[in-house]
Amino acid sequence: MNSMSKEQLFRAIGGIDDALLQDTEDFLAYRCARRSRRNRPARFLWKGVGAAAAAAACAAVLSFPFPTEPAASSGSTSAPSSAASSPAGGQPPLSIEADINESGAPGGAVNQINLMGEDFTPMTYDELLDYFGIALPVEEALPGFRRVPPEGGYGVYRTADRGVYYDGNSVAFAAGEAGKERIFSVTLAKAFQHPYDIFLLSEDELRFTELNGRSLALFHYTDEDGSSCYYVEFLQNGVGYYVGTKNVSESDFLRGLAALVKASDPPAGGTRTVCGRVTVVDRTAQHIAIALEGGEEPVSLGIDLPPGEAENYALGDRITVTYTGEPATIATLWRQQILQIGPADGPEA
Amino acid sequence: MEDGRIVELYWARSAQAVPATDAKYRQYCRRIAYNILRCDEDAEECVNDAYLAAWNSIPPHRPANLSAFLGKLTRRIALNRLSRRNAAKRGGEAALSLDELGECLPASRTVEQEAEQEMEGEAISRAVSRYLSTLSREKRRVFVCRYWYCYSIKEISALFGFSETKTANMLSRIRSGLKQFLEKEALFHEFHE
Repeated sequence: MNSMSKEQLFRAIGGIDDALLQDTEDFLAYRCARRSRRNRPARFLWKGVGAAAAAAACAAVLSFPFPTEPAASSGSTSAPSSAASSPAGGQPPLSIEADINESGAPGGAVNQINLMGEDFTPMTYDELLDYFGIALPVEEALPGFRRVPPEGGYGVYRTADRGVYYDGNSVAFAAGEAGKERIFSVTLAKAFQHPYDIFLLSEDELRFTELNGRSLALFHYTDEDGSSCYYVEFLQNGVGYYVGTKNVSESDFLRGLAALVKASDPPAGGTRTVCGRVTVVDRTAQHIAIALEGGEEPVSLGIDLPPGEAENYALGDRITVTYTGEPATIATLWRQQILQIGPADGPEA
Repeated sequence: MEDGRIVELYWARSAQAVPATDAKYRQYCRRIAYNILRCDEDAEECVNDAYLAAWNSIPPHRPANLSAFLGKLTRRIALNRLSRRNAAKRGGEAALSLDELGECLPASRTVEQEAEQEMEGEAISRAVSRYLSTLSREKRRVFVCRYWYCYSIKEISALFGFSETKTANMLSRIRSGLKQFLEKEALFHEFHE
């Protein structure tokens, strides 16, 4: 080789070792997550579920497919929410101090499970609530909202040998006239969960809202239609709740949510400590999972780690994790909520 | 979805391969493309071209590191687009005509030249990798951020918490070291603008 152009060198740099690229990419992801006042990737799994009856094998996609009008964004707030803004009025004032995380609109999620139409077992709404062992008193909490039955009806997918392998069902409540609906949607699941990948936070810390003794991470974003949306997910008695709203005020979101979240005693000191054995180590994603001891819910807990930390863990390691709030997304601790993590002392539970 | 599963979707020629790639890597690829092209529209097109290139190359490829594979595809496509854009700006139609004349060259000669250039490029890539391995992790990352991801000095300074002067000086020293390294490896005797 006798001569080289700038462009040749520049292009050749594109072919450097993958390991060098990966190291820098991991660093960028970590640094971007820690910068303040700018959108950055925060790794977590936003598990949303959409369910539709299908006549043949299909892929279900999470969506809130309701016609909307741009609504004023409520923005992030730490001010106490007071009287409800729902048209019915006469609601008792809320006493929830919401501390909502402002975020970007989440990326689309695709259900990676094939749903065979012949496996679908339809259910009435009451049968669905019996199946999950829950009640959804949203209409009582939000007068003016009415349940909107889904097109394909409710139901689960089951076979004789697998049992129920998919039970994601969205129960939507709507208010307002056509074209301007306000939507309060509760998606329920316990047999299968859908992973989202990147969810952008606009601040570099994760905030929690105390609600009925539970510390939940609440999110607000503006979707591509310009609609104001709220979102939260949590686990309750083995059932995953994925609550999303569109064009609903913050107070109505909180009021509806408060009706769903069962009262619980907050942990002493506001932190939780769990112990378990490592069952998954993903060094690319800097993510591990542990099987919890003591029969706690959830059985398995995913943990997002800072870059380079996953190298410290191996399958079978017994570790202790202390964290604030509840897992920000179902069965996943975000890096921001971890106070301490390391080898466990003491006998196994 | 884990990368291995996504690669399997390509091998199975599944319609889910590209959506799964998009769900996981859109922002990553878009960042790479945007840093080079600095135009939202061009960056979007570039990402879509990268997905097509991935579809056309897997199989036979089975990338061990999918993010690096997609990143490199995206970078190459973005650079090609940038070259075309710059050529058009510099010489307008004349420059484009010159490019078109390349099609008139005998195929065998063009293929040989391209193959030779590709081999040279691979040799340079390996040499640059060896050089970067001699640097501290911090300097290595700064170099990759500047010359692979095409972040500006200002952006790199913010990412690393450096002053812009420190970043510029660091890059200058790294470039000087790279030049000496490549000369020592006898990879070039002349360096043309």
